[in-house]
Amino acid sequence: MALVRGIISRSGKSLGNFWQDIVRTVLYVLLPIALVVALVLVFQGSIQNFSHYLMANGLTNGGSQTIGMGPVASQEAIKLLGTNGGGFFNTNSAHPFENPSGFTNFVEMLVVLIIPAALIIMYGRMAGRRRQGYAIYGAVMIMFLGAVTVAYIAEAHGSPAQHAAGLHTGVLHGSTGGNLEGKEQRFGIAGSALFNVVTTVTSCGAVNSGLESYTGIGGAVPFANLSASETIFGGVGTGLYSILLYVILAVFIGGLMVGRTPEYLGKKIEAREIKLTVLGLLITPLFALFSTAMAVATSAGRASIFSPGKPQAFSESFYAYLSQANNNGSAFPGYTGYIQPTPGNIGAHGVKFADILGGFTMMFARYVPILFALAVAGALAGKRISPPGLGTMRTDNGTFVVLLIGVIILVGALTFFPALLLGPIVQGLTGHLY
Amino acid sequence: MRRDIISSAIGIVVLALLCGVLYPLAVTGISQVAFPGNANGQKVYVDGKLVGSKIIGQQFTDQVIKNGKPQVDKNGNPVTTPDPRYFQSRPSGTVPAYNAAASAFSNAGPNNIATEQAFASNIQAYLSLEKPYDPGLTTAKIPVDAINTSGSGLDPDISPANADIQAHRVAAVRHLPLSTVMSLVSKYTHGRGLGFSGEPGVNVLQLNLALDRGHRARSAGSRGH
Repeated sequence: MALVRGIISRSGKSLGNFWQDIVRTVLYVLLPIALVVALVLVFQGSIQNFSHYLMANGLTNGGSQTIGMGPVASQEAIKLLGTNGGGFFNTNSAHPFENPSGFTNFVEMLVVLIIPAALIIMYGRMAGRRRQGYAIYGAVMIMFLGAVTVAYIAEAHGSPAQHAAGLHTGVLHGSTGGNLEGKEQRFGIAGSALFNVVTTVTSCGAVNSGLESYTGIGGAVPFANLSASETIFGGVGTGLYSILLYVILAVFIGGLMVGRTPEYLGKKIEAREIKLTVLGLLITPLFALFSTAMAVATSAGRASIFSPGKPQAFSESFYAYLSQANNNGSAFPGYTGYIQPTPGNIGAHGVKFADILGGFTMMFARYVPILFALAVAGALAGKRISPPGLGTMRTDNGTFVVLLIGVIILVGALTFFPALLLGPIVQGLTGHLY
Repeated sequence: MRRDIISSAIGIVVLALLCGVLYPLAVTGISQVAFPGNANGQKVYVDGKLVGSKIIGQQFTDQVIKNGKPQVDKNGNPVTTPDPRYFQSRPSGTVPAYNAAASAFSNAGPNNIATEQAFASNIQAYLSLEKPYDPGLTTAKIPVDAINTSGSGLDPDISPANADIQAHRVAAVRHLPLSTVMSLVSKYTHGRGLGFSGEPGVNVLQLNLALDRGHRARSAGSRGH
C-alpha cells in the first residue's frame, strides 16, 4: 500500500499512516469476509466448537478412533483470506473438518485469490490508470493458467510408482484415475492440482493434498510458482510489491532494449531505483539457494530428510527453504525439523539444525526485500511526474505484458533452473524408481 | 514519540481482542445456533454409542485375536483385518490407520521404490479380499483410490468405481441381491460441488450404516412372522 502511494504520489511527502491502514483493512475487509466464509464452511460441514476430543467406538471394533475437535471454521477462513496457510490440523485443507466438500474447496480457492487479485486492480485505480492494473493482471493470469495446465496434465498422467505397480491411471467409469496418492476423493485430480497452484502462486501455504506425492513435473509447478517470488497474484500485501519490483525491472530492461529513458507512470527510473529493485529481487533467491546448499551439504541438515530416494530427498530440502524464503509455508512434509518417533508427521523429539536454518532464512529472505521495496517507494515518491512524450514506452499494452512475463520467467529460471533440474524435473523426465 | 508508543499499544490490544477473542466467539455462537450438527462434527450414534463422525473416515476392520489376546504389531498398534460385511475405506497414511487425532500425509515420493512396494502390497490385499467375489477383477481394473492413500488419511469417501467392485463382496456375504446393494451405493453417492468442483464420492460410513439398518429391519420382520 505504502509502495503504491510512493509510486503514484505527486507531492512526495509521506507514504500514509500505518495505523489508519491496518485498522481499516481489518475492520472493513478481513473480518466481515472471514465471518461470512467461516459460516459457509460450517454450513458445509466444518466444525466450530470448544469441545474435548471425541472418543468414538467405530462401527467395528477395529474402527475406534479419537477425533480432534476445536474452533476450526473461524481459523480456516482467516488462514485462507490472509493467505497465511497454517492449518488447524496437520493435513491442513485436506482434512474433512477443514475442507468438507468440493464446494468448500472452490470457496477456499476463491478466498485465497480474492484479495491479491483485487489489489492489482486497486493499484490501477489508485494510479488513476486502470489499464496499468489490467496489464499486470493479464500477465499474472497468463502465468497462472499455464501453471494450472501443466500441473493438471502431469497429475492426471499418474506417477512412475503407480505404473510400475501395474495400476491403470486413465479415467475409469466412476474413478478419476491419475496420481491420487495423497489426494482426497472429493477433490480429485483437478481440485487438488488447482488448489495447489492457487496456494503456491500466492503466499498461502495451505495444501489440500500431499505435495510430496505429486509427480515430478506436477511437483515442479509449485517449485516454479515459488521461484517467481510471489509475483503471480502473490500474498496479501507482499504480492503486489513483488510484482511492482518486477514491473520496474521490466520497464528498465525494456527501456534499454529500445534505447529510451526508462520511466514508469511518468517517473524516471534511474540508477538508484534500479539498484534497490535488483537487490530486493535477488536477496530471496540468494538465501533460499544458500540454505538449501547448507542443508544438503551437511550431515546435520540431511538428518531432516524423510525420502530414501535421492532426487526426492533433494526436492524435500530445496522446497523447505524455497518455501520459507518466499513466505509460503507449504512443504514437502516428509522434511522435518524434528526427529520422528514413528513414520509420518507425529510428535516431536527435539529441535534440529533445519529449524535454525529455516528461521534464519525466513528472517532475512522475507524482511530485507520489504526494506528495499519501501526504499524504492521512497525514492520514487520524491520524483516529479514528467508528461508522457513520443519517446515514452507504454506500460499498459500487450507488448509490455509479454515483456513482463519474459522478465519474471527469465529471472526465476536463471536463478533456480539448475537446482530444479536436480530434484523434481529429473523425476518428471524418467520412469526410473529410486 | 510517546504518543506513538501509547497509540500503538492500544491498537495492538484492541485488535488482538477483536480478532483473537470476539471473532472466534461470534463464529462459534452463530454456528452453534444455526448449524449445531455440523459445528459439533456430525456425530453418528448407534444404540446410544458414538460410532464416529459422518465426514471422518474410519476403518471397518476387526482386531485379530490369537489365543484369546488381541494381536499388536511391533509399534504396539492393534493388528486388524477387514470385516467382509462392510465396504472398506481407502488406505490411510496415518499411524495407526485412520488416526483422527493426528492426520498425516503418506509422503510417498512419486519415484520411490518404497512407494511402488506399498502400492503392490495394497493391490495384493485388495485382490485377495475382492477377487473371490468378482472373478474378473485384475490389477488394471482397480480404481486408483483403492490403492493410493488419501491426503488427510481420513478420507470419508471412496470412488463410485471402487464401491461397485466392493458391492459384489458385500452382497454375497450379506446374502443380499446385488441390485439392493448397488441402489444403496448410488443413494450415498454425492455429486460434484456446485456441479463442477471436485469429484463424486461414496460416503463409506453412511453406506455401511444403511446396510446395517436394512439388516435389522429384515431380522425384525422375520421375527414378526
